Amino acid sequence: MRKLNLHKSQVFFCLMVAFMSGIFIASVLPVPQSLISVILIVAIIGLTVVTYQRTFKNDDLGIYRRRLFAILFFSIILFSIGAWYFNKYNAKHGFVKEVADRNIEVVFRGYIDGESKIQGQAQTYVFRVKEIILPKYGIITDEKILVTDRLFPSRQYGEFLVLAGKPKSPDGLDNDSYVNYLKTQGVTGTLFFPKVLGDEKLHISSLEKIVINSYEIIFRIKNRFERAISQSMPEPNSSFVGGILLGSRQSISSDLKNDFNKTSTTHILAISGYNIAIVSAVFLSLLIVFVRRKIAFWVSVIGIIIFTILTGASASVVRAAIMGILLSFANGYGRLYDQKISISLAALIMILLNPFVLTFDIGFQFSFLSVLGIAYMYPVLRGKLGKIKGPETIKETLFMTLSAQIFVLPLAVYYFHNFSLVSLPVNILILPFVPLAMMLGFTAGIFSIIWPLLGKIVGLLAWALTSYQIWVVRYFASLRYSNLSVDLGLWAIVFVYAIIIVLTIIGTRSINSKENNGINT
Amino acid sequence: MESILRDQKIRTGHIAIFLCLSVFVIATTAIARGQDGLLKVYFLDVGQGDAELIVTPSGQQILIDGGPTNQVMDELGIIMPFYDSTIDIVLATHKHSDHITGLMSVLDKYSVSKIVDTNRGHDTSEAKEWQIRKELEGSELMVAKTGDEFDFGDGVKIKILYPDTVSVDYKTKNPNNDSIVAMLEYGSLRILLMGDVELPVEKEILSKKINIDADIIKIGHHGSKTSSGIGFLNVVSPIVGIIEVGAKNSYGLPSDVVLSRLETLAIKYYRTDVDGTVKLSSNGKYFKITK
Repeated sequence: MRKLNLHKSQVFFCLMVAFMSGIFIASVLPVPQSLISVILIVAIIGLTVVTYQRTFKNDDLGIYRRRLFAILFFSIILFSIGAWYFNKYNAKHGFVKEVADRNIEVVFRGYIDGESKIQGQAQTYVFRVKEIILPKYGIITDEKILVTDRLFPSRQYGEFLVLAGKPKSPDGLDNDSYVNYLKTQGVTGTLFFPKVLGDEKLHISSLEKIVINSYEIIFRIKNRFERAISQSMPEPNSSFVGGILLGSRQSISSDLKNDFNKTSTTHILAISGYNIAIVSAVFLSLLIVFVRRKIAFWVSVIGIIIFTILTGASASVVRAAIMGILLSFANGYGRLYDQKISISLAALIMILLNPFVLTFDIGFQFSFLSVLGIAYMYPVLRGKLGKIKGPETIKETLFMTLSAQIFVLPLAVYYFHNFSLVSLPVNILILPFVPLAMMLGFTAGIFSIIWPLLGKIVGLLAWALTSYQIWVVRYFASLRYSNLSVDLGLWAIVFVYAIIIVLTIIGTRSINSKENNGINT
Repeated sequence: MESILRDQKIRTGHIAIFLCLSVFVIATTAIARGQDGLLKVYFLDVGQGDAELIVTPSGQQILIDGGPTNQVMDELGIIMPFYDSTIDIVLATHKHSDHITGLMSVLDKYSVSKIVDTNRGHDTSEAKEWQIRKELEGSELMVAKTGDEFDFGDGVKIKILYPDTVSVDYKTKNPNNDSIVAMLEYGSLRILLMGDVELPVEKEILSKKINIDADIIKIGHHGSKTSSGIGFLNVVSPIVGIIEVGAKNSYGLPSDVVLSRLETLAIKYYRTDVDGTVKLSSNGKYFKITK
């Protein structure tokens, strides 16, 4: 009999998957609390039985079986804990829900808790409600609502406001994907075009005040920097540079966004591990000269956190930030960095913070799929196709893009019913120049603040390079057969993923055995 | 290993330098070809709103309105030379959001020498914001009124045909009828820019007996049937009409009534929702329109 020899990290991975399955199942199907309790009790009894000394013999096979069953029952326990955790999080009480959908005017006091986004002829922002005022009484609370407001005046983070309007609860809206988006944002209600007044007298704790003030400073720096970039080169290049540096897609015109979607290149506008890696590398290399590794680690952690706040802390940024911190920890403290543990840990932390992201946040799913692709598929491609002749940079871009794309594509097809035929050539043509474009754009922005003329000179270089990239994207998007419209059901996608996983496992095994042979001979 | 890595970096760098140079070559040839001593008027495709850029033979730039979003920035990015971050005059016909919202981004990015609008405000958030941004810009501010004339040299002139200035306590009934109406003249070429004015203002202009005969007309109010009366069009007697309108707009513009009036009078028309940005170039005698 062939034994399944599970390594410690594989056990950890297995338990993680069990926990996440619990959360996933609970978020797509209503799982009653009583059922969870029953499963939990059965699993605990099972665990007690298998770990009891006399259940299995004390020979090799017995120990092996005991271990395997213990892992199985432990997984079931974690599965039910996952389901329970989701239910508990989902049932969190909110006062806004109580007053919503009643067609009565409610007054909210609080502050703007995020950057406002322009959407057509309106702006939207997340508003942190500290007080709900009803005709007869008031409620002190601490929850978030999404406000749709008139375009002007432009609202800033941290503004204290009094809003009066008729709130709606997210569940009352028809648009499913929008409801899911609100859930992942932790929003308990929505408010459309309220009456807005300034609020100077709202009382909040001094800790909250400190947080608001420091966020305000960060956003002010960001705005100043974005304006500097905008003044150092023409559109749409300056928006593009803003996108690759700070992930701000606001000012990119919908036409160009569409072209990025058509060529599957939107990912370069979304901040990802790539950008975080560059930021932390810059911080580390600057610091390592002056300070010790450990101090450099803490400074780069602060750098990554500020960068995460700057870019709006979307799922992909948070994922990359956690992994980036783990990586610089390994560097700073001389520990071994295991990419797979790092991926699992990042996922676990994010799901614990907000279990909705697993099922409802497309960005979360894409981000983890692509990083899994690079972790598992990249070595296979490298091993199998690495011998093909060609410039190293292009080969690396090719394999990286391919491995991430293979993992992301089926889900992207499922969500967007669209398959880009030009994705690969476009990515190869523009990706190698993204770091340089980032660097030139960043320098142009900094110079432009200090001395506008110098900013413009560097800006010209950034403009030229990004012009090339934008041109490539526009050209390929304009081709007639750049896109195929594909409609696949959920089961077809599951099937495709099963094939991809099996192929990856086979590929990894054959490469590992090849390497082992190499060592033996 | 390291030397290989360094080699690769150099290779990517070389390609990048080559690409940058080619972009510069292409861009500068295009700019050089553009300096042909002609007057150019671009009716920009900015969605459901108005924006027109005038470039005089000597290269002065006049931007009239900015559309409802910052799409105007992309259009300017394509048309203006890449090193140019100044605009000579920004003119806001009136304070509706489909005319001034884009202008606010323009003021953010470009340094503007002169801002022209009317003193007819109204009480909306975008009009207030415009007032604030305008004063922050630090450019020369000017209120346009009937009879004003801007001379750009080379024989290019813009004459303001409407409106008159009003007292401070003026309350508007319809901001569209507060729009600036202007005539752009170059040699014998005349272009009438109608803003959003509606039939009552057309009547008023007709009653003043000023010369409104023109070769080209920017159709008033995005081709709405509240503007472009047949009598008015008859007096203007243009050869070409241009409608600034957004694709699939919720107002159902341009109105069929206006389109059929244009057809009856044999006025050839272009519309930005179908044709995209419409470019007119002229030597002051003949003109050419390209899409």
